[in-house]
Amino acid sequence: MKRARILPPLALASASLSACAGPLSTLDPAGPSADAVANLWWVMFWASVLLFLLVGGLWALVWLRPGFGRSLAPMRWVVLGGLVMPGVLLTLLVGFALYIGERLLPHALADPPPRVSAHGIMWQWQFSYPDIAGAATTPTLHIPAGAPVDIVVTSGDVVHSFWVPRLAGKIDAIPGHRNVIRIQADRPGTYEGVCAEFCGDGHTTMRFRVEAHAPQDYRQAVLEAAP
Amino acid sequence: MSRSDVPPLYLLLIPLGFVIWSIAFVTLYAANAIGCAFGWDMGAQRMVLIALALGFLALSTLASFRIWRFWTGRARHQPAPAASLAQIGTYTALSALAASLGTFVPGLAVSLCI
Amino acid sequence: MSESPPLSPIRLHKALERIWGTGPGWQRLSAVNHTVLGKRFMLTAFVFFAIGGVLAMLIRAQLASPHAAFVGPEIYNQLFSMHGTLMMFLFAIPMLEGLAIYLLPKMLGARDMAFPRLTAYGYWCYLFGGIIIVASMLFGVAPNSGWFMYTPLSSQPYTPGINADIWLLGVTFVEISALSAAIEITVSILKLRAPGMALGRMPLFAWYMLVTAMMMVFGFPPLILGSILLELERAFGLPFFDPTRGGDALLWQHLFWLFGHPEVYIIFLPAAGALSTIIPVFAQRRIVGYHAIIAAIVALAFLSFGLWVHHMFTVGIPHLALAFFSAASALVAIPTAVQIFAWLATLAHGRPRFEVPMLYVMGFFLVFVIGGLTGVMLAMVPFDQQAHDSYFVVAHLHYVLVGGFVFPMLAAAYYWLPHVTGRQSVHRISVPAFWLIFIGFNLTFFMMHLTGLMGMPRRVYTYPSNFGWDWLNLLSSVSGFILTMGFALFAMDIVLHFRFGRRFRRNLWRAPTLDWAMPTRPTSYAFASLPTVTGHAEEADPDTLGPQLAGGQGYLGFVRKNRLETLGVDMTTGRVEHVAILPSPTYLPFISGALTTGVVLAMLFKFYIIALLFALATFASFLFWSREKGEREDCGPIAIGKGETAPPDAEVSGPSAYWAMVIGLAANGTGFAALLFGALYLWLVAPAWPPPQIVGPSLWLWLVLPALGLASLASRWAQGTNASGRDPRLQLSVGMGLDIAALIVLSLALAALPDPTAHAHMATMAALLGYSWLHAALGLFCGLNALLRYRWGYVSARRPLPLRLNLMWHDFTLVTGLLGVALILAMPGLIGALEAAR
Ligand SMILES: [Cu+2]
Repeated sequence: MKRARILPPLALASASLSACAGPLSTLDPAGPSADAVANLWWVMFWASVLLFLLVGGLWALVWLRPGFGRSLAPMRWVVLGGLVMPGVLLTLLVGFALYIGERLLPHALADPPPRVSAHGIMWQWQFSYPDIAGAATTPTLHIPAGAPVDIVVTSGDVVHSFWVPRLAGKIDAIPGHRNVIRIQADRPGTYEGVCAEFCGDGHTTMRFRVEAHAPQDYRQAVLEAAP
Repeated sequence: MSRSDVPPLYLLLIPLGFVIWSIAFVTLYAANAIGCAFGWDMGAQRMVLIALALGFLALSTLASFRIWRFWTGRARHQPAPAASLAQIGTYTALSALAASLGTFVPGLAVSLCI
Repeated sequence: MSESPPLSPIRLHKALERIWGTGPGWQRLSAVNHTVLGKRFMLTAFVFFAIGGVLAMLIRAQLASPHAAFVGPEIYNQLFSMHGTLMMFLFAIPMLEGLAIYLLPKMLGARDMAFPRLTAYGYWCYLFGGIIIVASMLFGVAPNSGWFMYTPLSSQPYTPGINADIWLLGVTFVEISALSAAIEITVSILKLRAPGMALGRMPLFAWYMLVTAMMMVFGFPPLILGSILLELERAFGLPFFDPTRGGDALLWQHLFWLFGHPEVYIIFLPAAGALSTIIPVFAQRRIVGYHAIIAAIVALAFLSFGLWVHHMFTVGIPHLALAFFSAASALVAIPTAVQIFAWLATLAHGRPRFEVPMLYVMGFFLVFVIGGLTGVMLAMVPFDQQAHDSYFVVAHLHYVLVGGFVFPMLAAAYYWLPHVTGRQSVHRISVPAFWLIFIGFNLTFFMMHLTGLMGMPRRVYTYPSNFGWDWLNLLSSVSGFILTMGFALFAMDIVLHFRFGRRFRRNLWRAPTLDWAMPTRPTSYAFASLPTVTGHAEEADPDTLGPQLAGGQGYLGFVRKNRLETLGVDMTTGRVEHVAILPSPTYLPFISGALTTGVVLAMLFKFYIIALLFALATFASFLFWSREKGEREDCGPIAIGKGETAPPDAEVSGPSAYWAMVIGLAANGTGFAALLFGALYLWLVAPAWPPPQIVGPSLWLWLVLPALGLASLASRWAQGTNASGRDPRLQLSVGMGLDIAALIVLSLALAALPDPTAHAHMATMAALLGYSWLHAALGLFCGLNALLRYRWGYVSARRPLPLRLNLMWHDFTLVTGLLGVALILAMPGLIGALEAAR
């Protein structure tokens, strides 16, 4: 439970939502990128619960205690509730989200991470490994665990979207364009992926699997994986 | 064919602030896209964007101030709709100024082309 | 002109009803009246809502359990594409148009909208377009690329059938009708109000509709343009969106969402306008923050255009640009919050009383706030990259649209239904209906947020059972049927209301707006005489005003020359400016609508010659519109009652038709700007550039400007001649000759282009010239119309409108032609510069 590290009081709530775990669950992160987004989600979720209770409570009070709000001048209501409160909260939230977003970008690194190419066609993904000489294209994505990997996402026909929810957000595969997403699996294991952008009759079955290997086994696994 | 006391042009007081915001928005977005496509130096591109944003903020401030002065001054002595339109215009111009601060300032700190 | 002696209320009613009313039987097809058409729009929209609801039920039936075999992907893709298309284009937009058409004249103190025949034409286009779209389902060829039709999936190679064409042509047809409604709504609000109703005294609902209509004016053209370009690609191979030939799939996304995001607010704002009307009535207090709310909705309108890319956070746009759009998407919550708190403050400072409409307003509050909160979440780039295209988004958009539109519309239905029928409900079915809808909705969609976070993507037709989605989907499906039962109960309640409702006298809710200062059910002419507004229009007193107006004590409380008259006012001050003379019931809108349907059907089946013939027939039918209406003599100011006079609309400088042209050209210019944007966007971003061949300047290209310029000069000359009291027919004929010359030059310039199917560069250049060609052709039509109107005696030095409209059109054609040619000439330089930098 990584998120408990940052927001301890929420551990209880998270536990009560243990139903959230699942092979495609964004709330069951297995890498730093998905983890950061899950944290952002929980912050926004609890803030939203409070705001909903506030507005719903005001609505109830207006009816149950007529005249309770008269002490606050009409325009005060508008300025405080409509401008000041959302203004402050949104400034904080936008700043926080941009900070997180900036960290997730595939910045140039002194030690460039390995690159894998994910090519979407109707209706399957083809993964190839330009960094590894002699590696063949595979239907399962192989990555080393514990370190970032850059996935170069392209399309051979229509728009697809590469999404491994437990590792990171999604990025679209757009014909003629070349998008890069940085993912990382903290531990070796198998992670499920889907095509998130509707791409025709086979959209539903355009799923794939990510196998994260211990770094020392990675090369060998890729070389052996050819179908 | 009588001329109106408050010509239809006064209606433009209402969207004026946000028209400036829209032009700023499109200009900054276009400058970013052009900078990345032409491979401008990152530092130079950021400077261009900041300069543009500051320019538009100054313009937006000026517009808000002028409309506000118009509302509190001359518009008072004109037929009622003038004051009403100037009042709404002041609110929208100030909202547009705040929107400019809120839209452009946080963005200018982040990565330009990735 | 002398005033006739005042009539008794009954005789006045009979006299007015005889000229304003629509006849029985087949004559219903000739209706142009806003009350009739407003009701038709709303009823038709509700029928499409019901069809869309049935589709939703089929979707939920398929998803109720894993590995369901109810339908396969081919059918399922049509189901969700049609559900979205129906709800957005055939339910929400026409419903709000219908509400506006029904209510606006009544709230503003006018007798009808500015262009009643256009209202009717818009209705027929909507109905026939909707029937084409829905009928495609019966043949199993319904659109199947999703309601936002992403290319290249919707392009020829991947959707070769007629499915996508039905969407593109059918929706464009309906959109053009919506655009004309938007122009009409804008002009009606600005010009046709009760005397004394300055803009600052206008009811908030009219402000909301004014802002909404302006958003439609600027928001729809990009989608109409995008649809035309995509249809050109599908039908003729012009590769605007084909990445292998210099097009770009992302251009479609930009054009679509440039429309698609404002669309959400276009749907929300009228609903919020209804709320701003209903809440003060039940709070028994004037709305708090009138000016602040107007500023908020203007802010909302602009901000909503600045966040179209928030549907595109995962397409690989630089983070800096995403940051702008992310911040704008978050900021849009502020004007929304301003309205929410203004409504709360109104209730807190009023003496609220709880009636059925308020029950539905409560539903709006609770549901919409949740939608707004998840909207802010989705505005955050990293979170959106997880939630995008998942069921979280499905949940969010239903919370926003059902919360922000359906619940307010239900409240509005219970509030205004007595106005429509003259009856009040006796059964309290509305209450159990509310609870079924409210509970059913939340049970269906609330846990769907979690379904999305658990990784379920949108638009999958089935799912295996090992992802933990089973119980969530089952819950949504079962609850969906509770929701449906609620709506069925609502429909039943409406029927019972019509059948068994108890009659009431005036102003059921003790409302302070002019729409209740008339008999209910409303008469065809709305006001027997027009009110004067001396204070704020939201503080009127319908109870005393109504009988006075019915007794003819206001303006125009008489019938003159069997003309349908209402007052036009100065846009800002609301001072009486002219007498607007409106058209009588006529079959022409129906005929034109049927002919336009012929154009659409012929294009659908690729019979382009037949389509062209239908288009010519449609324009010919418009000339008959022109022939029916007008004044054959200068008559100067005429009496309007209360001892005052005003000139008729033909004799003032700014009548409704003039402003309609101004706003229409603004919409047209937006479409042109979107085309320029497309050409430059492809140059900057699209793959497969530079093009194999670059369009250079040709002789014909250089001749385009002189031809368009001379045509514009001739129009100016014609107008000047007429203004000095002489016959302008020679000048008009010269202008038409020059239009034909421009058409020939443009045709030759088009023919001189390299093959436009080879590369998007050539295709966009051809589109720019094609745009000018089309406008020169329509210029010819404008000239012909002016010529004929002169011949029919509708034009004089004091009645110069057709010549002014002709000039405006030609000037617009010249300016856009100038910009288009300038871009074509600049392209080689631009392409060279970009290549040098690469
Ligand atoms: Cu796919």
